[in-house]
Amino acid sequence: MRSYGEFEEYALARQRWLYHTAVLLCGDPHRAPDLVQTTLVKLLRHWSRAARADSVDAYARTVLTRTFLAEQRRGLLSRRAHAIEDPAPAADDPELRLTLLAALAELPPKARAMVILRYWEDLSVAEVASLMRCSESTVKSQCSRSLARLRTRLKDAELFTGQGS
Amino acid sequence: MRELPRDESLVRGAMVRAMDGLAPPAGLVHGAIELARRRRKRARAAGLGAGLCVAAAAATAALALTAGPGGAAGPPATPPAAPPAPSAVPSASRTPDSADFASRWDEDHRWQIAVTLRELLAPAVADVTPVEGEDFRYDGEGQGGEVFPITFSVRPAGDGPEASPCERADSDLGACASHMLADGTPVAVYTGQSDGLSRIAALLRFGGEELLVEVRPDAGSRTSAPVTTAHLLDVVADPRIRPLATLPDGG
Repeated sequence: MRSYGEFEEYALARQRWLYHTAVLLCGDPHRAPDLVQTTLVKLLRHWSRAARADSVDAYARTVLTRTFLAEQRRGLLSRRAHAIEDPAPAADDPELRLTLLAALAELPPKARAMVILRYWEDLSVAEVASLMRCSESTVKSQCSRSLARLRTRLKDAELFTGQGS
Repeated sequence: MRELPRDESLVRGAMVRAMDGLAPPAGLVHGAIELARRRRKRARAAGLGAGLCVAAAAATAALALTAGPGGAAGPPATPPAAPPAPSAVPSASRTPDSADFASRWDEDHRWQIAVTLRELLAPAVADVTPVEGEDFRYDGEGQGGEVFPITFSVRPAGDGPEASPCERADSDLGACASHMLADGTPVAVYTGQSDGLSRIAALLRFGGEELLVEVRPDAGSRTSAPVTTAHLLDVVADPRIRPLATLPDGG
């Protein structure tokens, strides 16, 4: 089927980006594959529409973020949807990763998603507000508050300067 | 690219460094494609099974009508010789020791319900999937990614006639209004609020069973249940619904 081929090509090219965003969102390299797989299944189901979108990446990012938020609400992220062959490889900078993920995990899911969309995905305030279906002032205030919390946690761990680990 | 304030730049840098070298596990994409194929196959089978059930029910009704109450003498109407659906409604062949079969039947049956609800609730709901581990729970996905919890539950109807479908009014479900389907089946439609968002439910009895179909709002996105009373009445009146409204143990 042609759409499977096109989808596969896209998914293979973008799986690393999706996986990294999923790790930051759900805070666990071992649970992130479930989130990515659920996202990819949804993306494939609507591939004809996604492929026609202005940006497939934007479509995929929206599906990933909303799937994360929906699964957080339902408490499903701890359930494994599909067996993955290999565990995540050892971290290059494990201390930074653990500290960052722990700091992100302290943020409420919506605030975490906003921070990741704003600073990892580099979306504008307006783009984050549109994706999260909230006001721009909410995005600004949440990001500002979250940034302060992250700064404190990361500075405490002396990781902000790149001197840690 | 815009110039980032120091804190933003540092957080972004920390994210980049933390993810550097972290590779996705092998098989991620192919696992998703396999999962999607299995789900598509199951949904198709469920749709086929539901279609065959309706066709069989319609053919049986047609034969019964043809024979008529005082019709020509002949053998009692018998079900048509339809091919057995792989996931058709349950059965005497379901033995206590066939746990795998029972489990597969339950799963197939729930997918039949999900596929049927998806068709009947469109376009308000783009997709419906069973919620793992909860027999009567489904998630209805809105066009914008909202998740509307759906209940499709069946239980044995109580004894005795009822004067009005609202006589069993359950205050938890909201205000009750009595309706009647074209075939004379009374339906109680409940409308209420959860945290300021609308929800809706329909409760009806037929045969020895009582069916509840409820659509609740998506609290996360603050979106009310996107189903009207008329739409929900159409859903429960659809001939595909009753063959699916069987108890999960096949009873």
